[in-house]
Amino acid sequence: MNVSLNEIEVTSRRAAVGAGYPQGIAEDAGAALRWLCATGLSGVEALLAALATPGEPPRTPERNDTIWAWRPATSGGRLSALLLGPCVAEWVEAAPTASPGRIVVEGLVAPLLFLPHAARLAGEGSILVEWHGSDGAARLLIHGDELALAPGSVLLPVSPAEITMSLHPAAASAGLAPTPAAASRRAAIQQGVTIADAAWQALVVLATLSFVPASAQSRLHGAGAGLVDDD
Amino acid sequence: MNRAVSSPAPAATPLRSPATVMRLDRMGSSFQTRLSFMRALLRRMGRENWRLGLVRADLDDDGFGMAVYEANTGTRVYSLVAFSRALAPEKRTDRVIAEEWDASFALIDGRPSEADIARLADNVPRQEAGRFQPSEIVLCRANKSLRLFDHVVERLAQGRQPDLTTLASVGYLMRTTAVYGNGKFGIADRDKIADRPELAGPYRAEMLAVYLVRAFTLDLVEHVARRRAPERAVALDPQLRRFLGIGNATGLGMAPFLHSHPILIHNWFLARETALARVRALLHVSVEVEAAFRALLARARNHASQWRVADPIQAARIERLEADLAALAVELDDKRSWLSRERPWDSLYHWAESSLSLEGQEALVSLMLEPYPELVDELAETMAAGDGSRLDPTMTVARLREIVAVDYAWTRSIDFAQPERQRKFWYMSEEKLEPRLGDRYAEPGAERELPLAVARDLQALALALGEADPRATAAALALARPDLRHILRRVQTVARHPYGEIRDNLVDAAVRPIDLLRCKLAFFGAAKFDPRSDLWTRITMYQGAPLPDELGRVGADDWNFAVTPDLST
Repeated sequence: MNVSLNEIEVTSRRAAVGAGYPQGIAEDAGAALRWLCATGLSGVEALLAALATPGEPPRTPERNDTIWAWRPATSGGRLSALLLGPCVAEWVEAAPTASPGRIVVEGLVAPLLFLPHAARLAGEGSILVEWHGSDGAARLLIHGDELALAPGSVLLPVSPAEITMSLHPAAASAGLAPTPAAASRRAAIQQGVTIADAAWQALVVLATLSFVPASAQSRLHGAGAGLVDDD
Repeated sequence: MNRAVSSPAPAATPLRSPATVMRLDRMGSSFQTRLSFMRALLRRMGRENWRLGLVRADLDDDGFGMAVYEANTGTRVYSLVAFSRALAPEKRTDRVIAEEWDASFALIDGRPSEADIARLADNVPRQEAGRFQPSEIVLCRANKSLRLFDHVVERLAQGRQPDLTTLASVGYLMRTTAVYGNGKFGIADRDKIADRPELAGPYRAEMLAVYLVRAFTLDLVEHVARRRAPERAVALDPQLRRFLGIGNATGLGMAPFLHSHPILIHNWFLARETALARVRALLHVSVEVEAAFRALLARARNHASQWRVADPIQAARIERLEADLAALAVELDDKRSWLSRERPWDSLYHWAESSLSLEGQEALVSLMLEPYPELVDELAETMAAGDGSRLDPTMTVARLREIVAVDYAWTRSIDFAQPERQRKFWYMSEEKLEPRLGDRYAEPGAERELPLAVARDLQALALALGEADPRATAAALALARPDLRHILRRVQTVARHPYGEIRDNLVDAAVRPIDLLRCKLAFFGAAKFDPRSDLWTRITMYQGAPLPDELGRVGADDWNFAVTPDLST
């Protein structure tokens, strides 16, 4: 299915609302999906996984001078990238003193959804993201609009993972091969994005949950012209 | 209208405040201005010598088939591919949920290949049920005003011009019922065209498509008349062609847009209010401008007298507008009280505030901007907006309280314990895939309402802010209260973009969605607002606007407050 970025953003936002997430979180989810798809990373499967696994309510991080850590409150608990992603970036930006060198998030569902927020944190600079999941690991550098992925990295969008972000990566980027994110973004804008049919349909079904079915009352009060208009 | 030499503004005149401007009743009294998107687009077309015209027509005797129009900017080509089909009378409806139309259109990037046309023929007539590609930029459809279309065909086929009164009673041959852009149904994202200078302003692509649809309707009616009576048929008088616009029926689908795009809306209003302030700041009015303004006022009075609607509320407002414009003419005649004063326009505007209805005041605003292209037109380039609505996590609760206290003071007196203050709820209809307005106490679905209850959400935010540590940050609040995240971000956005918030309760029992529609449509450049209920309206677009071969001529931009042509001249 070839879809436009606007369709991705709007449908993702509606799906998040349909799944019961607050409006503001849903808006961020839509923007995150737009960023991911434009960057060449299909985030739809990750979003579906996140919407199916609510995760714990986010809390303030455990902090020391060098590391801030968000961990589930319970053993085996899960944190939601939808709820936590925007907050981590904002928490660091709002830090009254120097931000920590590293940020750790454990038990993160659908970790791919975290990348847009890491990119926000990177701003014009760089952030090194290390990703350890049960099904694979990845190391990537986000630098402005570009992503650089370490050889052998696997970005598994769905499996829970521990994410470590180094905010001042210095030379840590050595050996990372830049991906053509800018070219991908141009292509997505020019040509739209291909999404697996099943994933897209699942997202559309969730989005429909934010709609209100017709009722006898709503039909009675419907806006619009009379049924026939032949003046 | 001739360009006029103006006195430079010696000092800034304050802009009208958002508290004045962003009220539904005033927004619902808006008129086309020089800054309206149709006006700005046609000026650019004329300035850059765009070439527009029919390049292909495969139409049968009844006008059914396809046609292609081209708009060549000199550096790019856009094509409108039009499909005209027979439509059973019972299927001709203004409603967005219709499934067939007299005509359907796609504005595409470049020239269509035969394969494109075949693909579009399968999809464009189905509109929402079709699927499209990023080579398509705009999708729309239109139905004939059958009464007028048939009349014009009949008259032209008889070798006669149509009856002017009949023509004026409708004003267009076809009426669009939806115009889609920005990625809908797989068409191009706005980002694809946003950096093209010719389409960089808001809704330029949509306005271009509709302008070409108008050209199609005019050619179509002549084509059918010619085929009916090849020996006798005549072409439409150019003055009548120019007078005929393109209609539109707009319902609730458009209404929440103004709420959901605060930065964009701020830019629209800021441009208009800046233009008004520049004119009000002028120290003197030249003789040439005064004459031009008087001529335009006379035309506006004529326009108002020809603006006839069935809706009793709007009819009464138009009647009052006619009286207002008459009073304005009298005021102009009293030169001592106007022209001789320092800052004559400011003086006139102050007089209008205390003497005229909102329709009269907003009509005056539109009239005042017309003689000053050199002060106004550049602002049309400032009305687009990109992203930027992100939460500022560093803002303190203390600062948020200040913003809420000042920018949202209007919300404090709304008592949501009163059922009527939130009787309405906005929602997306599963059946129609369009925003709709429901009755919270009589219809199911309020738990899925769209977030248009700004005042109610704001009160919840104010409560949370009152309980929070004033030194705490927005980041902490957003973490603790994800349910307030959207209103928190909105409050911060509106603090930077104060025209971005409508300062009325959009879920009140008395809310009139057509106020939102009229405001947006006036920014498009529409006229002859014809409300059919509180929920939808008909309008006329491009009435009096130059035809493609007239773009760029002297006076081509002078089509505000269009009136029936005087065929004796």
